[in-house]
Amino acid sequence: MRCRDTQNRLVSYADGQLSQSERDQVQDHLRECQSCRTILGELDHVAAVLLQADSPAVPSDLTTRIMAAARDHMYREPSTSWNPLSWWRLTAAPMQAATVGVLIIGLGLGFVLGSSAASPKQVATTSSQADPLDIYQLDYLGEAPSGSLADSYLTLIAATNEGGR
Amino acid sequence: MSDPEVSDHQLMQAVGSGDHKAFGEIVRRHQTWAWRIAYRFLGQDEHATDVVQEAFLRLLDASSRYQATAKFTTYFYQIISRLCLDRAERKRPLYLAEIPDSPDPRPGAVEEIERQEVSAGIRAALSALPPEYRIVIILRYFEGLSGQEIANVLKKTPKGVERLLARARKSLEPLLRPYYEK
Repeated sequence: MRCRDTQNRLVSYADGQLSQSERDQVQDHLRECQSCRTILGELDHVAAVLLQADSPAVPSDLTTRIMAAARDHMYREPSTSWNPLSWWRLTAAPMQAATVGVLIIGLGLGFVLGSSAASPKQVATTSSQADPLDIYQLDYLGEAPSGSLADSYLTLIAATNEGGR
Repeated sequence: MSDPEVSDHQLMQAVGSGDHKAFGEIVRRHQTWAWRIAYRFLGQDEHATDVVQEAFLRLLDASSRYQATAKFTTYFYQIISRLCLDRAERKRPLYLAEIPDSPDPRPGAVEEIERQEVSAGIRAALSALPPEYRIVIILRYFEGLSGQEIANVLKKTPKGVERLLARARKSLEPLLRPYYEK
């Protein structure tokens, strides 16, 4: 960019009104041209001086370091504070949607199948009328039915205890 | 994926789908200006590299839920600026001037040394500014952002940025006076 083109743009440059490409062209010229910097200095001292600063050299291994850090970040070991949902964060959106869909279908099927199972016995309205044996099916705590194998066994045990002392 | 026709938004969406090459292209396009902002703000290579690394990792984390609600560069400027300001709260920048003790006899060496002195003086002047002033000066004068763009980056109003810039310039002018060109 020549001096005349640059000087025509200096006011807009000082006001930050140029597009990025125009700004870059003006800055490139200003870095090399003291007379244009002097004119800019009359508009904006600070801008003119700051243009004299070196453009710092980017480290040559910057890309390598960023990409290595990104790889480590993606495949790092789980931290000691276990987050059970950390996998969700790393999952892509379509997979998340599929997971939610499978969960909904599974829950729905479970509900449908569960509601069609045999309904439980009716519970007695008052405790005085309820027979716990009926409610809780705790028949193993009741007496052994007469003539049953359990009844015979219990009779035998009782007889043995009386005779063995 | 190095096709210049592919926008940053498209690249970010590809990164969100697990495309590592798209991430590499994002890094290639934006690492230089990001690093220069961080270096001008923090004053040391290693700190600047740490900040830029962290900024790209945040992009990676955000990629799966990224939405193109604003310019990508505005979004990345926000991340870089925020990381620089957070870091500044913990540490003042330290610019190490490397001016040789004895004059170099080669032609043009004197001008080169003068140029280095001016650069060192500018870096020292920036380091003397409070972090909030420093970031607006860098965004305005080194990145060439307009007042509205700086407001978007720093999440302030344009008027707020104008006032901040005016105070920053007022602080900087006496520090830069020795370097005004006649």
